[in-house]
Amino acid sequence: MAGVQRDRPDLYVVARLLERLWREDSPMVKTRLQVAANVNYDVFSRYLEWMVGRGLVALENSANGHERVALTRKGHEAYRKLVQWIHEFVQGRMPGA
Amino acid sequence: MRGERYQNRIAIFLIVLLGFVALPLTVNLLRLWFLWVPAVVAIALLPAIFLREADLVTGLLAPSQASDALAANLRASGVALTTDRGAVRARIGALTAVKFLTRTTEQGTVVSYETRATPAGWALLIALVASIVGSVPALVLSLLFFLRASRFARAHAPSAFQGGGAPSAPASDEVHRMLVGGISSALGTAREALETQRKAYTDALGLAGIALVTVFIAVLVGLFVALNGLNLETGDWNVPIIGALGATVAVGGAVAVALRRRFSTRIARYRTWVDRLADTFDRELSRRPAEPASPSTFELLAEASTQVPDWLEAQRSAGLSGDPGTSYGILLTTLFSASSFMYVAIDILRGRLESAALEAATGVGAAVTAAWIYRRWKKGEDARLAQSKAAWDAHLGALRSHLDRFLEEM
Repeated sequence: MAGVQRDRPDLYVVARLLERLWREDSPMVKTRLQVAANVNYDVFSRYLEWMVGRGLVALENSANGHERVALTRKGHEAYRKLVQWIHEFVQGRMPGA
Repeated sequence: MRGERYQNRIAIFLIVLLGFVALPLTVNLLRLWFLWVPAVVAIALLPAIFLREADLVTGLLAPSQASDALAANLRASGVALTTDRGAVRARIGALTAVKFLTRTTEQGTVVSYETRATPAGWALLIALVASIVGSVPALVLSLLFFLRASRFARAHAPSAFQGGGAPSAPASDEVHRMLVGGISSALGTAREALETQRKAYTDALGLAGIALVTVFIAVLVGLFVALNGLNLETGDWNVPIIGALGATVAVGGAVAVALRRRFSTRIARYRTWVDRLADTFDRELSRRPAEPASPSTFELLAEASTQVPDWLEAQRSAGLSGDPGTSYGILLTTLFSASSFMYVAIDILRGRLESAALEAATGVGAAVTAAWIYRRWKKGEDARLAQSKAAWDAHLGALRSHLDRFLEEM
C-alpha cells in the first residue's frame, strides 16, 4: 500500500473512490472523499495522485478555497467497466465475453 | 425453491403419517375406519393449507420498504396487524389471519403470503380435530380460512409497491442497474444456498428422528428377548424400556452434535452474507448513502463473487435435499425396511418365527435397495460437483485476470 505509484494499487480502494465520486452529482471536497473512502490522509493523497495521473479524476478549485475532486469521463467509464465485469461474473457469465 | 421446500415438507409429513399412523390403523382398526379416517385426512390436509406460501406481486422496492408500505396501507384500511422481522401479520376477522412475507429475487422484491389463524381460530381447529367427530368440519373451516386469506392477500398486496417507498432506480442509469442486478443475483444465490442448507439440516433431523425410533424399538425388543426370552406375558419390561431410552438418548445426542457440527458453521456464514447483501440491496434501491466505514457496493460484490462457487456448491452438495425424487425413494425404502424390522421384532415376540424370517428378508431387501439408490445418486453427484467446481474456478480466474489487466493498463 505504501508505494501506490511504484506498486500496483489496491483495486478495492480505487473502486471505492470511484464509486463515491460516481454517486455524487457534483465534485466532492477532498476531506469528505477521504472520510468516505475510509483511508488515512497519507494513503488518500497517494491514491488521489495516482488517479489524477491516469485521468480517472480531476482536481478543481472552488470559490471557497477548498479543492474538490471530480470524476472524469474516463473515470466513469473505468468504474462502469469494473461493475460490468463483476455483474457478469455474478450472473454466471464470463466477464467481458 | 420455496415451492420445493413446501412440497418436501408436506411429502415427508404425509409419508410419516402413512407409515406410522395410517398403516397401523388400517391393520388394527379397519372396522372403525369411520372414526379415524376423517381425523387422519384432516391432519394430512391442514398443514398443506397452512404451510403453503404463494407469491403475490413483484416490484422494485427494497423488501423493508415494501413491508412498510404494505403495513401503512393496511393500517389506513383499519386492519389490525403486527410486524415481526419484515413479516406483516394482518388479522382479517375473529378467526383468520394472513402473514405477508417479502424476499429478494433477480426480478426484484417478491411479496408472498401464508394463511394463518388467530389464537381463537387455532383453538377452534385443534378442538375440532381432537374431538375426532369434528375433523370434517375442521377441514371445511380451514378451506374457508384459506379462501378468505387468499382473497384478502391478493386485494392488498399491490399496495406494497404503491407509494410509501422511495422511487425506484431510473432505467437510464446503467451502472446503478448493474449494481442492483449484481447484488440481487448474489443475494438470490446466497439465499438459495442458505435455504438449501437449512432444508438439508431439517431433513437430516427428520431422518435422525426415524432412525431413533428404530433404535428404540430394536434395543427394546433385543433386550426383552435377551432377558426374558419370548415370554411376552410375564416378562419384565422395565429394564428393556430403560435400556432402550438410554440408548436412544445417547444415539440422539451424538447425532445432534454431529449434525450441528456439520451444518451450523456453514448456515451461520451464509446468513451473514445474506444479511450483508440484503442491507446493501435495500440501500441501493432506496439510494441511501453508505456508512463511511462500510465497504462500497463494488467491494461487496467483488468479495461476494469469490463466494459464488461456494454458494453454488452448497446448493448442489446439500445431499439428497436437492433431489426430492431420489430422497423420497430412499425415505420410502428406509421406512419400509424399518417397519419390516419392527414387524420382525413383533413376530419374534409372538413366536411366529417363519413370518419373522420373511419380514427380515423383506427388510434386508429394502435396506439394500435404499443403499443402492444412494450410492448411484452419490456417484453422479460427485462427478457433477467436480465438473462445476472446475468451471467456476476458471470463471473466477477470468475475472481476476480482467481486473489485473485493468490495473496494468491504467
